[in-house]
Amino acid sequence: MNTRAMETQNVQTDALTRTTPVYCRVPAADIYETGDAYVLMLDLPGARKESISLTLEKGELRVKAENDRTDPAEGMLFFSDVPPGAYTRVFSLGEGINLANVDARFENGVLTVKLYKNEERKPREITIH
Amino acid sequence: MSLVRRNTANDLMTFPSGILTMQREINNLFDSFFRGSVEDSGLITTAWNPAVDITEQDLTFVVKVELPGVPREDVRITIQDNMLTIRGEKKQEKETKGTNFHRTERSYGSFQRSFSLPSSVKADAIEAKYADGVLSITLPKAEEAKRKEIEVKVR
Repeated sequence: MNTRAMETQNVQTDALTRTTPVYCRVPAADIYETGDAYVLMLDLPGARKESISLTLEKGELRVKAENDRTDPAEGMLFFSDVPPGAYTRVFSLGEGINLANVDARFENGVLTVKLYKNEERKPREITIH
Repeated sequence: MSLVRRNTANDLMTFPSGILTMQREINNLFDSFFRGSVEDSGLITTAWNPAVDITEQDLTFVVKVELPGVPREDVRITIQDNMLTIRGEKKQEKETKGTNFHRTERSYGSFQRSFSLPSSVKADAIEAKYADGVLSITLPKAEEAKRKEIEVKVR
């Protein structure tokens, strides 16, 4: 019984003093505007398409992806400047985006998200009478 | 206070060159351990430094270079005297030229990185593949460089 109490205590101590850092990596982004849409381009090198999650919630666009970084078990990592951690970034969206119409594609490690503007935001010609 | 023209499409390219140079100098400092050639001592201007991981295994070296958005035909890999050089150019997408940019954090332009490998490799058996924005180069070690296990008898 004594041993069991010790074990429980150990677990708790472990949880409190856990020092393993949780890394996250903020991917670089380009955002540009075209006549009918806002286009977001994110560098996600090493991410597999299946691991990318893109969620729209409460006016925020949340991007998460696993980074298929070199596994130290593959060999001795003797040079590295690839930052550790999974990709994560949140963008707050302004008014005037048609949330029902969002396009996303992933090619060569770049995620391109096209957020179409609402009708009233699109540039339009005014006819002069 | 003065007005500075903001060239949104090419922020990184027109960034005060002093800062780019300083960044390169610092990168060179960290890389110097693995570098050695004169042509790679910072005299060549590169716009960005792609991140690299190098692992050593018993029979191979594996070099992984992060090149998101760089088409494989724009990358050149050369090896000379155990000096591996990866160079290329990341061009801005044609469709984005002249559009209204709100943010430009991604890097564009030419890049070059060189690494001197700690032992000789079979230059004719080097393989490279590109997937999901990562270039993986596998360099098999030359026979004499492979780790040999030698048992030493204690007398």
